[in-house]
Amino acid sequence: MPDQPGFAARVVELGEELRGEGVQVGTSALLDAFAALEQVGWTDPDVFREALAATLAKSPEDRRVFELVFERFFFRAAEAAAAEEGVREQDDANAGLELGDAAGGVDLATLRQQIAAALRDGEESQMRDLARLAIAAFGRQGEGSGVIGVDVQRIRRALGLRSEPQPDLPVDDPRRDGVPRDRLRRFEQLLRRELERRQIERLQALPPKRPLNELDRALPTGPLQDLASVHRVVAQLKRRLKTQGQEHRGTKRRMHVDVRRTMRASLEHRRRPGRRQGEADAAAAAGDLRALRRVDVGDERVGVLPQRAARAARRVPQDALVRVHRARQRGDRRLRPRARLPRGERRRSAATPASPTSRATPTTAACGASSSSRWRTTCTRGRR
Amino acid sequence: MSGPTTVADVDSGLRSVGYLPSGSASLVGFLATKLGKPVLVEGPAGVGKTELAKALSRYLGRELVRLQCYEGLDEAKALYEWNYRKQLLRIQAEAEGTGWQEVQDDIFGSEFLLERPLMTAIASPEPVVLLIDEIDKTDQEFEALLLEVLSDFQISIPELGRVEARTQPVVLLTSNNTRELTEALKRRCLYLWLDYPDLEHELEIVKLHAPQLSDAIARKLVEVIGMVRDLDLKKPPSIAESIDWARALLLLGATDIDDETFRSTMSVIVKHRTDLDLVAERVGVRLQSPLGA
Repeated sequence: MPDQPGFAARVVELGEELRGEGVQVGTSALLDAFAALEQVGWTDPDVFREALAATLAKSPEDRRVFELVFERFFFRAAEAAAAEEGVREQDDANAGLELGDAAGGVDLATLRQQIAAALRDGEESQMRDLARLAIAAFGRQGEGSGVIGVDVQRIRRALGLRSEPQPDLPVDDPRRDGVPRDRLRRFEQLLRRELERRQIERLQALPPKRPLNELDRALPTGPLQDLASVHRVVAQLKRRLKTQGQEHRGTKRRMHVDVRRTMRASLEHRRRPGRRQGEADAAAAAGDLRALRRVDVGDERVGVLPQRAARAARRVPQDALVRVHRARQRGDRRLRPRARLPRGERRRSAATPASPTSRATPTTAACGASSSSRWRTTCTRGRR
Repeated sequence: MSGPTTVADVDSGLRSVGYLPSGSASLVGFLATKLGKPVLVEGPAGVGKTELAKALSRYLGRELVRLQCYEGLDEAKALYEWNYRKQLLRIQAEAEGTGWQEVQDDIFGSEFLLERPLMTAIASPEPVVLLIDEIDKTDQEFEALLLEVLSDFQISIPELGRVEARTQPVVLLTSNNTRELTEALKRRCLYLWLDYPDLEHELEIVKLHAPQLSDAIARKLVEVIGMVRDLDLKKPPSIAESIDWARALLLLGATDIDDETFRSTMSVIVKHRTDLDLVAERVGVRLQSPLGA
């Protein structure tokens, strides 16, 4: 860094640009980046990029954005500097001649072979040189359309580079098994970069920045990755849902609906004279058994339960009846059934009061209330 | 042993202990030893995250202290705990007349402290490699606790005082990315994303672990693994699984990976019922047609 005073500023600018694209780059991260670069040096481009990535981009998504921004930023920075300094690659006839000669020296077929071989071996620097040769060769043919994207595809087609196997080619042709997709894409990127560079050189001005989503489209398998990210988010949510609320579970047992308890409560409800009772009687008289059942278990909501559950609910007062019966046999008359006594039985007990105290209406009411509460407690106790 | 001086040192060092690092792994490993910052290693299961920590410890000649994370991991299991039984025994053994102060001084000594991994790593007189495995399995409270430990490398015990790190441990945290880690933790770490290796790299790894396997089969194996990973599977085969497969093929004495061999040994690399069907359907067909070998 010390011998390149402007370079530290470039790294800070890169951080700015990353922030602009939604990557959270803190000042501490930038400081880390400088500390890391102190250790590994600034000269090797790959090491430089990896060191910055390790300190600035802290998730796979950030890393993806980082790659794009890094490429775009330093390409533009280099070109801007070149334009400012007036460095031209082709202003002297020599360079152009040399390139042209190299391209002219090899015929198109050999160039194709060379490029395909370089793609297969994945030699980055070789690929870059060959990209320039290819552009030079096509520039001479005068086929440039002026639109970079179109030119890239034209050159690729003319070179016969495809990712799928081409069985009609001779056996020793490296393109026969298809060019690896990622390398082909890389080669296209290099072509594009080279073409852009020439354009900038011609115009002496930087074109506006290309937005990232435009660059992103060129990245592999968008839909699949999207799906994968959706799956990941769902998995995370699922996990969170599973663990959340777990902390309440222990303390609030009552969060569950106790079906039996609810039913017993509504059974007691049923005895209260009211509109619903009358309705039920009318329905029963009309022969609507469903209405009967509904009222039988006391509440509308319960009525939609399966028959088995309803039957189970009805069984509860039967048990209670047995308990009342036994109590009476013991001579204890305090326990009074309020539910599901046969009609005759109830009338008889009402007509022939067991004790004079029960004749008075207020006392009966009190007694009834107490017995009902006793009922509930006995039932509950029986369950536990 | 003095630390490495260049990235290439780390690279060759890791290779010498039987770990073939991907491009950035050795760089980040180097930075970790130099900057003393923890490294957060993320990536799919089975790409060698834990293995990297083990290799680093072998290469640096340091002891590996491992903290395996799980849901509900707490301080008592990660930092330290008082050995209650021993304390009780001590109190019972004390003579009746001992004062409270003496007892207290007695039973809260380092003799009664049970050191858990984080404490071990910090209190160790020799520098260690601390591996905090699957940090994404813990809850956020534990992450917060970790922040304190990782930034200052010190633990305060109310009864004893502060324990400070005498040496700088190399800390690696691994995560399978099942949960987004907090920004605060990420900020303190260097980041390393390990992905499935490319074809040549994996070939190298397989050959290292199954040297008797012939080159042709090894290459085909790696190609098939690559094909399987390209499918949309529940659990794509990891590096460990391709090594297992290579060994299985060696044991079976297979001379070629044809359709039949593949079907009979497929269960080594694919472990889900639905995945098995998908792989048998897609890859099986491609093996029947001559692969460009």
